[in-house]
Parts: sequence; structure tokens; C-alpha cells
Amino acid sequence: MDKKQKFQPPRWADKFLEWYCAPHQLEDVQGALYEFFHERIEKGNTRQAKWYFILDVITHFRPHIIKRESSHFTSNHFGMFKNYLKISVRNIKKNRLTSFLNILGLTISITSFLLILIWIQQEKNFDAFHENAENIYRIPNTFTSESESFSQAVSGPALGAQLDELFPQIVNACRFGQTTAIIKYEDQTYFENGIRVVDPNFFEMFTWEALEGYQNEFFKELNSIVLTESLAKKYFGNKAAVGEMLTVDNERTVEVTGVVTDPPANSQLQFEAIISTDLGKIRWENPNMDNQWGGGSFYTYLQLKPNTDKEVLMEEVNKLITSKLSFFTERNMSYHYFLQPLTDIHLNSKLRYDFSSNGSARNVSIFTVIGLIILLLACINYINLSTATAIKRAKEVGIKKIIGAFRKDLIKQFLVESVLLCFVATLIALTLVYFLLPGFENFVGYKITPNLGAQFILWLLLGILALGLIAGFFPAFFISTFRPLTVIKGQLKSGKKGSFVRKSLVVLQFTATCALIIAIITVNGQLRFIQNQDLGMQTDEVINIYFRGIQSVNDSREVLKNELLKDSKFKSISFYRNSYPVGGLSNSTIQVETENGKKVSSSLYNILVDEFYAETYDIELASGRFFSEAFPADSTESVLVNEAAVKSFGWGNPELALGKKMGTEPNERKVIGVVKDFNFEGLQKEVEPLRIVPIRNRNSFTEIAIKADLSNPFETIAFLENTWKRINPEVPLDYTLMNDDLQDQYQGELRFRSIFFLFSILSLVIASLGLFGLATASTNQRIKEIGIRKVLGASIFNLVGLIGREFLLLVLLSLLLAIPLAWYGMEQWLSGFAYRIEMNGLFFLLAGFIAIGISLITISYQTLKAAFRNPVSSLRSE
Amino acid sequence: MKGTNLGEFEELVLLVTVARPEEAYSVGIAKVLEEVAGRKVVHSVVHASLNRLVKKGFLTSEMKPGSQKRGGRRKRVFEITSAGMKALEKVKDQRDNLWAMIHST
Repeated sequence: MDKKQKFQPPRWADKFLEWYCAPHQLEDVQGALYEFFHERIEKGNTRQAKWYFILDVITHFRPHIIKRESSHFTSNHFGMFKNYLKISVRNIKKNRLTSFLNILGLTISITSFLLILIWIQQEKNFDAFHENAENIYRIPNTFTSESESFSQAVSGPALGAQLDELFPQIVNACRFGQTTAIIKYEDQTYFENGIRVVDPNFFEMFTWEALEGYQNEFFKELNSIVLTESLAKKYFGNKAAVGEMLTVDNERTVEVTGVVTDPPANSQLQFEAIISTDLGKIRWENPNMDNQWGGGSFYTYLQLKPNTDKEVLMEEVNKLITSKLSFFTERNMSYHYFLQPLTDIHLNSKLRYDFSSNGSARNVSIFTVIGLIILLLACINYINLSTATAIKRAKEVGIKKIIGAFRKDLIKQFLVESVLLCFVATLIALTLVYFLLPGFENFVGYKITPNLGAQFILWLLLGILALGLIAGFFPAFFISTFRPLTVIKGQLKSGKKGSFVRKSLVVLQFTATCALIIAIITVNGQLRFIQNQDLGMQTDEVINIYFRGIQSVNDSREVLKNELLKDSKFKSISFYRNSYPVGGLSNSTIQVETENGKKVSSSLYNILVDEFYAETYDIELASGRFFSEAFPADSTESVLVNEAAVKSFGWGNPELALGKKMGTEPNERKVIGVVKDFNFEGLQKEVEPLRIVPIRNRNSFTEIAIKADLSNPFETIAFLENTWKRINPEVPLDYTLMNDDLQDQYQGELRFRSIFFLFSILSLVIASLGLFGLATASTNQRIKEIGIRKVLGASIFNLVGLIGREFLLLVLLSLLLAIPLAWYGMEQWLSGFAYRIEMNGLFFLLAGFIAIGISLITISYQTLKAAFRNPVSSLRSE
Repeated sequence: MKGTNLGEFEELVLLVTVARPEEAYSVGIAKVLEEVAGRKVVHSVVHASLNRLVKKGFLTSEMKPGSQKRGGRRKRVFEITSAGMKALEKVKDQRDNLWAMIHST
């Protein structure tokens, strides 16, 4: 026996064979394999025999061996299934309230989930539509100087001009720069902000659809411009655009050589018109641009050969760039370039000078979780309502069991029912999504093109099935356990069974809801805090005019100023160059003297201004003085910094900072004053070191800030418009109110708040629906008890308390559970802000009031109805 | 009904069942083929081909007692049908005709 056992083939392989092999073939096949096995053992090698046996078992895993003999006794599942459906439909019709609550809850949650899903699909597929998307990368860099280090999305222009020639792995390199211009067609003049400067291979690398003209010939001539469909329509209506002439900045005539479709909303590369980098060079008066390796304001994209070793490439690229940047290296500054996959940028890139349209991976995961929570809430509703009203199905279950139904069949019945409900709800939800999508687009902030292919339908059907099974699983098992005898004898105690599970689920539901309420209160608080935060400057009275450095405006500067200041509503006017303290400033590198007199290189944000900047924005001084017309030498010798810079250079305090030197001869300047920190960027970021330089070239202003009384904005602006038209008839007035622009900085957050708010409310509605259903079931079951209590003298108050207490306890418990959860989650969210509120007990209290208030309102209808009911009507029939 | 053509491997299998009736079961056929054709024959392929031949009506099968090695399991022994015999002869005729053409030129 022992010996024989030793020569058994591996047990598990044998078992596996027995499992997959068709029964009618098993004996023969297994016999054959045993025969081989024993023959091999006779040859002497037991181990090898075992291995071969396993191999044999695997090689026999083939259709002709697995396939079962077709049987003549196929049972009629279809007939039974029809019956399940019929009974389900009858039940849905019979229990109208429960079915209505279930379908409503499921519909709301599925609608929300689908909307979220569509949005996430869009967010995750930014720029994925380009044919070369997976081989395209952006090449941003990390800049390091002696005093700081930061990563920026823009790169030196030479990279885009030369890299594809220098490295065989790089198929294409393309720059994407942003500019604005005044464009004139016949007698119409427009400011266009969406002009992009790109290399001609832009149309080869990325996938755009040309409507007019030929992509390869767009930039054959220097003076060419390509328009998007909508811009072409704005200028030429329905006329053909190609061949038309436009005047740019009143000085250059360009020909429209092509029209392309508008870039889709899910692209980071948004543009309205496109000119080539060669023309850009001329516009920016920078003929040597293609050889500048440092600085820069271009986004540079590289298309690599498939399967390129990116690490090796980047090492070589960095080596090359370092060798080109000896100027920086000598001053201990360095650029380290790296690659970002194109499709990754939208969600995962948060660099300096990044696209403001960028999304956030964090928000995507937050909303995924919320979508799942909402689905879960609806499932829980279904489970609770089904089990709470299970008593109604008890007789059906009992009779079916007596007639001979197995438990399996009953489970199938209930699962069919839940899947059917989900199916109905999904159909309604799809219709709703169709109508709600435009509204949802407003919430999200861009146009959504849902991808509804066969794949989507398949997933949808699978989703319905899964949702139905998840929701129906517990009720099906629960109800099918009823014993026929107890049921038929009428001994089944209603309501008690499964009540623990039900209560736990309610707690789970309300925990999620309370957490969401706390979250929405916190988000709201934080946003209000940000909007009311003292920015260190006044913003309520500022009008900003962006005139893009047009010469005629610069020339008539003093006239405009004098004319405006004649009116007492206008208090102060400052001209400056690209220094609007909203939406980002430029930065540059400079040599700075530290406390011990040594010079280090560092990078600072720049503001280039006239003497009235501080006055116009009410920026306060920490020490020294601002520039003044009384000191003509200011424009060449003086500079101001902010407190953050004082701290960054270790100068001690603002008084000690005075007289420190910045820059190298002959451009060395002395610090004559320190301004208090003001927030020139969104409050997500700390105030960074800043340098305020008086402008030397008085003809290079680009913007005007006007401090004016805006208590009657229309009057003020009308006066401004008239004056402007009189002095600068050629130039359109492009102004914004500073407070609007500040608001725009938080667009992402505000949008987040609205979406978040929407879905929190929806989840609250769903949870309330469930609570309402439960209260209904529970009062119905206790209707006699209530009647008897009332007869014996219980007051309405007693009775309401009796039922209400049960639910209130659950809600309170949920609140307790929700607090730490929400606390943790919101701490995470708040950590994304440099200026933030602290979590506050008051938030929890408020959330508690809301949750309890809503649940009270929800259950009050049913409880009051039960309490006011005449006991006779509930006790009479027995 | 599947086509009644004989594949090359099927033909070999069928021939073995006629030539060596005592080995006319899957393992036996596999071994004979290995000897005759001198190539590695995978058992599951023989098995599949036998199944196919039964389906085409060229073979019938019967379960008969097997050796001790099979752990007491019976084996499925095959026997050729008259249709199977005819199919074999047809193939042989075709080949003979073709060979005759080769030799006559």
C-alpha cells in the first residue's frame, strides 16, 4: 500500500483533471494519463513522471476534452424566468410606495453616478485623442539657485528649436507659446487673447482637423495665420477664410492660410489663432530666440520614437543643456529638465506657470468616492426597505416552499426583482442624464462629449446586473430563509428579524451623509475665508486696463491720467509692465547680497512699475520709502522687496534690509524700502520673494491700474470709457474689475464646491428617502401597539417620542462616527491651501443640527400620522 | 455532418486501428505512431482526432477492461467501420493514381 501510494500522480493535478474533463470521457482520458505515468515510473524517474503527469493534465485542457455531452434534458429555465419577471412586476405594482422610494433612490444615485463617470472619463482622457498621444511628452524643468528651487512648466526656446535635430530619438519638437494681439479686419478691431505661437510641426504632431487649407502649407509664408472655426466665423461669417488678409497690431498684414476645428474641451492646448515661431521672433524682436537655452516662456512638447529609453535620453539632454548654460552654472544656478507624458499633464501637473485649466487628480478621486457612496446609499435603501417589508412576502415564500421550490429558486426570484428595479431606474437615469448634461456642463465648466459606444452599453448592462445583485443579495437570502410552517401558521414576528442589520446600515448611511455635510460646511467656510482674507492690498476699487503696450496709449499716458484725475471719483492711477498682482507674475534670476555681504544667485518674482503702484493698491511699507518723482535717480539705482524676500535672504528685519545691493554692475541697485507682504498669487500659495523695480523705459508699460470709487460702477466706467475713446480712439478698452479677477483665481475651488454641494444634497435626499421608507414600515408594524397605547392614555408627544427616539439615536451615533472621518478627510483637503481655516467644533455642531433636523422632518410625517390616528381604525379589525 | 475528408493525421490514426487492432486505443495508437512515424505524438491530439473520426462515422468504440497501469480504469477501444474502410481505400486509390502518373512519365 505504501509503495503504491508513492507512485500516485500529484493529487491536485488529478483533481484538476477530474474537474475539467467531461464525465463521459473521464475514465478513458484519466486511464491514459495513468498509463503514461506508470510507464515513466517503470523507466525509473519518479519525479520526472510526476512533472510529466502535470504537463499532460495541462496539455489535455482542450475544448474537445472539456466539452460536456449534450443532454436531452435541458430544464426550462426560460419558463421559470418569465414567471419570476411576472411576479416581480406584480410586486412592484402592489407595493407602490416602497417601489417608488426604491426606484427614486436608485434613479437619483445612478444619474449622479453616470454624470460623475462621464466627467471622470473626460478628465482622465485629456489630450488622449491625439494619434501620437502616447509618444508625446512635455519637457518642463526644475530650476535651482542658491536660495531656492522650483519646477516650472515652461522651458527655454532653444529646446523646441533644436532638440529634434540633435537627438535621433526625438521625432518632433514643438513649442507652444501664448500671446495676444489687436487684430483688424476691414473696419472691425478686436483684442484676441487666444493667439498661440507654435512651430509648424504642431499640426503634424498633434491631431487637428483642417477645414480649409493644407496642413503642410499653413506656414509656407512668414506672414500667415491659421484660425479656428469659431474665430473664422467671427471675422468672415460664412465666407471662406483662406486668402483673407488681417492686420495684426496695426503694423503687419497676415494672410489666413487655414482654418481648423476648435480644439476640443478635453485638450490642454487651447487656441483661437496660430502663428509660427518665425513670426513670433519678429513680433518679440528676439532674432536670437532659437539659441536661448535658459529662461523662456514656451511650453515645449517632444514626440519620441516608440520605446525610447527616456532616462538615457534625458541624461543626454540635461548634459547638453548644462553645457550650453555656462552663464547659469558659473553662478550656481541650474536647470534640470524632465519629461511629463502628455496625457498625464491635465490631472497630475502642478508646476509654476502651468495651464490654469489643469484639473486635479485629487478631485477626481474625491468624486469617484462620492459617486460610489451615492450608489451604496441607494443599495442600502433597497436592502432596508426590502427586509423591513419582508413580512408581506412571507406567505408567498411559504407557499412556494411547500409546493417544492428550493431556496435557490426563491433567491433567484428576489434577485430578478432587484435587477429589474435597477434596470428600470437606469433607463430613467439615462433619460435624465441626457437632459441634465447641459446643466452639468455649466457646473464642470467645459463641454462634455460622452463616449457612448458598444463598450459603454456593455458596461452599463454589467453595472445594472452588479448593482441589482449587490442590492438584492441580502434581502434574497434573508427572505428565503422563512420557514413555511411558521409563516403559514402566522407565527412570524414581523420587523424584528434583521433589524440589527437594518440599523447598522442606516448608521452607515447617515455616517456617510453626516460626513458629507461636515465636508460641505468646511469647504464653504474655507472658500469664504479665502475670499474675505486681507490680501495686504486693497482690491475693491481697482480697475485694471490691459492695453498690451500699444505705443499710442503709452504716448498719451499723461493726457489720460490728467483727464481722469480731474474727476474726483478717480483717486490714483499707476502704469506698469505685466505686473498685475493677480494670476501670476514673471520671475527672473539675479545676484543678491546676503547679510554677510556675499553675493548669491536667486530667483525672484518681478514687478515693473511707476511711482504710483503702492498708492493705487494701498500696499503698506514695512520700512524705507516707495519710489518717488522727487528722486529721479530711483529709476536706475533703487529697488524694493517684500518681507518674504527679506526673510529668504536672511537680512534679519526690514530696517536692516535697507541699502542691501541687488544685481551686478552696471545694473546694481540698492534696496530703498520693504513692502509688507501682499498676495500676488492665489491663497493656495504662500507669498514668495518679490522684487519691485521702477520701470526705466517709459514706453514699455502694458497695463494700467486705476483706483476709483466703484460705489456706482456704471457711472465710473462710463466716464472711463468716454475719456478713453476720446484719447485712444483706435484702441479698444479692455478692462476688468480686480475683484472679478480674484474670484477667477478660485474658479477651480468654486466649481469643486458646487459639484460637491450638488452631490452631497443628493446623497442626503437618498438617505432621507430610506429613512422615510423605514419609518413608514416601522409605524405600520407598530400600528396596533400605538393604538393600544393611545387607548391607555399615551399623549401624542409620548407616541412621537417612542418612534422618533429609535431613529434619532441612530442618527446621533452616525454623527459620532462621521466626525473623525470628516475631520481626517477635510484636514487633507485644507492642507492644499497655504492660508486656511482650522476645523472647528462649530462645524460639527451645525452638521449635527442639519442631520437631525432633516431626519426629524423625514420621519415626522409618518409618526404624526400614526400618532393622530384614531385607535379604533387600527384596532377594529382582528 | 462534418466533411468526410480524411486529414493526414486522421488517416494515420485510422490506419493504425486497422493494422494493429490490439493497440487500437488512444495510448496504444500514440505509441505505434511514434514508432512508425518517428515523431513525437501528443496524446491529446490523438484523442481529439479519434473523437473526430467517431463523429465522422469512420470508427466505433467500446469500453474494454484495461491494464493494471490504468489503476483499474477501462479503456476505450476503437474499431473501423465500413465507411472508414472505404475512406481509406479512396485515399489510397488517389495516391496510387498519382504515383502511377509519376512513374509513367
